[in-house]
Amino acid sequence: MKNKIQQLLVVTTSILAFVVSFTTVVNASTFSFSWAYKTNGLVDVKASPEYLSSDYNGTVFDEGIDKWNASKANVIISEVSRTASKVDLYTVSRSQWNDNGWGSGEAWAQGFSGTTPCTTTPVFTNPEDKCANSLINYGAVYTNDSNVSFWKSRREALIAHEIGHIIGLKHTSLISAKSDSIMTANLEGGYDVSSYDEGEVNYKYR
Amino acid sequence: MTFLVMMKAKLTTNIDKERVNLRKSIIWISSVSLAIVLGVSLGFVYNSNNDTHVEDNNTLTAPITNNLSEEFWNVDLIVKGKVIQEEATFQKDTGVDTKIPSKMEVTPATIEVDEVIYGNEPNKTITYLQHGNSNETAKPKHVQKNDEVILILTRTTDGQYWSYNFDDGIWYVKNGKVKSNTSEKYLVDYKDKDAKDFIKEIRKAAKNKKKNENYKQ
Repeated sequence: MKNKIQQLLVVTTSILAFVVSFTTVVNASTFSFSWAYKTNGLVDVKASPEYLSSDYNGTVFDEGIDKWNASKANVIISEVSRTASKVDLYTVSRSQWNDNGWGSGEAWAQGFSGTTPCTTTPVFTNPEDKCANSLINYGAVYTNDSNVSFWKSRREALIAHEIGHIIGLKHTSLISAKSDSIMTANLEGGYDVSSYDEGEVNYKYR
Repeated sequence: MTFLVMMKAKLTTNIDKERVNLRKSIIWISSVSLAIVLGVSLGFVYNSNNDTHVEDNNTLTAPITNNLSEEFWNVDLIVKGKVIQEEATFQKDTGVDTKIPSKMEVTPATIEVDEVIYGNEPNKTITYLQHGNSNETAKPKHVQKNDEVILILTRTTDGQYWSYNFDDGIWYVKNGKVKSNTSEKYLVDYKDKDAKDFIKEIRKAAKNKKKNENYKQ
């Protein structure tokens, strides 16, 4: 009897260790910080495109945010004036981008918790360093005016992708989800919100 | 005499019992440890067979590129040189009118230029800018005094330089080989390769630099 209990305990421990190691890695596509504003159960993002260049403002911005609004993710992104916005989008000139040492990318997103920026550079500083488990109450998205895609579809996706970061989504790292996720690094997975992306948002804000 | 024999026998029995108990404990602890190791290993094997997860905390979207010349579209200067010293950290305004001010820490380093591999730089020394300060774990890692480096750079409006794209532009020369923390697909294969070959390749790529056709010129 004692031996059977011991055997059972060993098997249970083994299964538990398997599950823990598996789920620890699986749930790795969201940051520990969350967007601070919710309305009627929806993640509520009030965004201003006022400082975007004509490459991104207008229909590109509208269709970019509609990617989330038309999805099953519990998120609503609305266009508001800059005085009412909680996320501001900017197009940064080539000289300013270079003076800041922001690299060769197309865009990046910066969250703020209170008055603290989660990160001050686009890459290599872990955004969780200063915002782990915090609420993000303001976000800035910077687009690089010297590196603009010809393709409207990519620019729309870029808007949706960077706002995805602001509400706490990381780059999708699951191989099985990468092929169609809008949150895949460098938009390599595609330009539309996938069911995986919807699931990530809805699980995070359940 | 009999008493002594009896005592010895009893002592032996007790020692044997303790040995058995100790053995049982060892087997028990080993089994649980093995179960944990087995479970964790199986979990990771299962993951690696079905899905790969790479921790990615960046929020940057990099452009589409098809080769190293396109990767270098914003490169202004490539130099081989030596780090003379790291300067004092200062706060820099990003120049973007965000509602909450966003400043960043910058730590310059002075580089003595041995060779200009690509571009035009008449001075013998350049100021190379780095994100963060030296008191914390800065990323990319800061260069150190006396490091021999190959730097792939973008020029600022006041004639200083940043790496053209974070770790991708920072290469250390050690025993004739180049080392870097880059994960850029067109550069990663040069890690630990001969410095002369690397210089030849990056010079060629920089001379032919161009934007990918999907981007406005």
